[in-house]
Amino acid sequence: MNEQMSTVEYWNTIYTGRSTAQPGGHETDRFAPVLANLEGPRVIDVAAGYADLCKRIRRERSDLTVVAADFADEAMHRSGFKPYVLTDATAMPFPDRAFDTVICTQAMGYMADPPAFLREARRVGWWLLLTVSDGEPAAGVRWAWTPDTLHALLEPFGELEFLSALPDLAMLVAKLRFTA
Amino acid sequence: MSWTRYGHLLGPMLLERRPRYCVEVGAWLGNSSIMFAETIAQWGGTLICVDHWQGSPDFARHPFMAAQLSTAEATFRARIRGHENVVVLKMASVDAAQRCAGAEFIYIDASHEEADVRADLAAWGVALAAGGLMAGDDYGDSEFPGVTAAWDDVPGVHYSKGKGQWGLVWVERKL
Repeated sequence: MNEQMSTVEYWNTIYTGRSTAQPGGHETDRFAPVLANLEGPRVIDVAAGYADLCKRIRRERSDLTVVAADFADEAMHRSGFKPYVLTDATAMPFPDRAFDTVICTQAMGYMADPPAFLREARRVGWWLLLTVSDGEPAAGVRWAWTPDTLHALLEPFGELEFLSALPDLAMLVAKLRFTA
Repeated sequence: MSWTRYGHLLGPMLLERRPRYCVEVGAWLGNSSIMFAETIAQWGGTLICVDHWQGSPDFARHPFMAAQLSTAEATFRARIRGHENVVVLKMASVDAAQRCAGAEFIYIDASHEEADVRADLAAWGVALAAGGLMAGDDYGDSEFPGVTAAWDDVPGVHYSKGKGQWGLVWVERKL
């Protein structure tokens, strides 16, 4: 990341195509474990980017209310998905327990302070469905986890329903029920 | 005030447009919220309810509103329970507007002070999607001259006064 840019500016640059880096999330099949484990009725996808996963949830689960959230206004605007809310993942404008499930796919590794996000997710939600890259951080990614390190990170926040490694996708997926 | 007074006007507008992304600015006790939520649920719409539940300056002239201050948020939450297409943004109106771009229907019913209404109209006017509808409450009511004054400066505004003093006001953002 260019140190002269704010984080929001950096991501807006990526989403407007002015950077060679590409945002992820254009195909959602890899998030099948997320789709299969949603708790409703209210779901928020934090750091939703182009909101492809939100669109798929809306198509497949019309019983759920889905909100996309991201701080990159260019991504949210271009996504065409509604409703969306512009917000930092660590300081969301929602009241406590506003959502049943907080989704965060392939984004926590970019965050400056993952525990701060987890605290905020616990405040606004009852459940977390999380995916992160497994192994070494890719270029531009601050953090990556192994199953053991992710387990250690998540365990203080609640009860893990599952934490699975998907080697073909180099991805870890976890479902956590938050506890106070 | 409740939109039940305007249902015969707003209902057809919503049915015609079928907005999926709706915002109620100033949810307060939730009277209008549940009506909006139930209406737009027919086509899968989501209602964002914005309020900080701290009241507004015009409460000084309306003690019955001030009296609701301590219980308003709890009343709202009780009323929206079971309305699963409602999402709450607990924050000041103009701050929320910066987070909600692209809303297709916005109902302005927060502070009725002229400066606040003007600020809401400016902020939420930007958030309104092209082709979207922004409406408001208490237009023409002599108790709230600031509402009328602020809306009167919005180009293309429409209004409909009822039998009493109150009235509905609305504007469409052109495509």
